[in-house]
Amino acid sequence: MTGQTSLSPAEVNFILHWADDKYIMGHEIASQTRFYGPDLEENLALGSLAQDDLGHARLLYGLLAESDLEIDKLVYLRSPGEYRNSLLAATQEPDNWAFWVIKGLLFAQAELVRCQAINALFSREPAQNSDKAQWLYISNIIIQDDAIHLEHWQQWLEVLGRQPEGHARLQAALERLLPLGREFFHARTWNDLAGELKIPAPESGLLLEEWNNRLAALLKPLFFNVSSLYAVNGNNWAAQYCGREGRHTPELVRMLEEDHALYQSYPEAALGSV
Amino acid sequence: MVVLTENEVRQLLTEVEDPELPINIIDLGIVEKVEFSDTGRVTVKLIPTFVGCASLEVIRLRAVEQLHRHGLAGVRVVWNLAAKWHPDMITPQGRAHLAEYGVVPSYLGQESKNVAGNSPCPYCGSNRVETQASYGAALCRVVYFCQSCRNSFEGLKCPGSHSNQLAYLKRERH
Ligand SMILES: [Zn+2]
Repeated sequence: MTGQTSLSPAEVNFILHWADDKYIMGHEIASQTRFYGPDLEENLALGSLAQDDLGHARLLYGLLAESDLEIDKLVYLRSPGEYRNSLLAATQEPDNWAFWVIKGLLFAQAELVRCQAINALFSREPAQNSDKAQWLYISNIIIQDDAIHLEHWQQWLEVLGRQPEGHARLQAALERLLPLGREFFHARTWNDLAGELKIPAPESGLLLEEWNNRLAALLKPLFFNVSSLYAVNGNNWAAQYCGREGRHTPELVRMLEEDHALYQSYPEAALGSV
Repeated sequence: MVVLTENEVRQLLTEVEDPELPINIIDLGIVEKVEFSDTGRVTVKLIPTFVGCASLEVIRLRAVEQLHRHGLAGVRVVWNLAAKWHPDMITPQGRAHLAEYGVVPSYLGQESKNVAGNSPCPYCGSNRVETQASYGAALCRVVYFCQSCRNSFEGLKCPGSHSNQLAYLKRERH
């Protein structure tokens, strides 16, 4: 499942954002299994959701690499500042299950909006050339899997949202995470890609609006306040980072450094060692 | 160079076992195509079940090794991401092997063309089966509970299967 390297810089950048989001999200979700989730069933579910994300990441890195060894190098030999994942994928809050429910919900919805935009973008291209066909296969696989992830987190939203404490914790997580949509749908990424392919860009503002509207439709009936969706400068904490430009949280930098140190100590023990 | 027919290649692939279940990849239904180029080079196209399955590379390498051992030096084995796997693609023989092991094909939220009734119990054959958990010990599993013989067993699901997630939390507690 490895691909061609005749990609333009904008295409490489676009795929890196996508792949790094999936890789970091899978990593973060998997990290929660060591706390055994809220219960055993959820622990198994987390393992499956993380495996889906990591599988998607592997396919996407495969678009940039000629071999499995090169995929390993992309994952393990880039410095943290070369990662392009969003803050939404990276952000974490141990011991707060409501936070993970909101993070999962927002990420799955963002992923669906991104993949549907990709499908719309390439269906406009006159010739469905074979390298874009691979993008479309992967994006359709992700749409199928992330629709189920979204449903999973929606169910948790209903379960936790029934009690006052759960509702309050979910609301607090929403206020922290909803403003991260702007960074996820980073305007330049889409403009550069479309510019290079000489096709009209989907306005990243429209993608953000689509994400906002879908989330509002899920959240409002459960009596959540979604005004922070539309807050322009409402998040001082997030303003110091921009994952798309390689400015990451200290937690993510530490995690990547640990990961890389392990690989460099045992390079032969990597996943794609053939 | 060894020249084999498609059927002979498929026959060789019946000796490639799935690493997680007692079933070979032909019975599992994941061998989509065996193609021959003008120069006689063989390409085997496999259908992935879940792309996050930790066994994908193991399966591919096992297939490559098996065909190398039988003289197909230049063989390529690739995953066809455009193809979709479905439990109906498991052969009757494959179904029987899985049932002995306590695993049944699962049709969570989907229609089956071949099988009447959804995932009957592999131990007693009862249809009084409920989904205990939508996720199991591997990415492709769902856990069922048989109301008749009160055994748990696993279903083998395909990507895109929807189910009543978290049903166990929403059920009335006794
Ligand atoms: Zn039974």
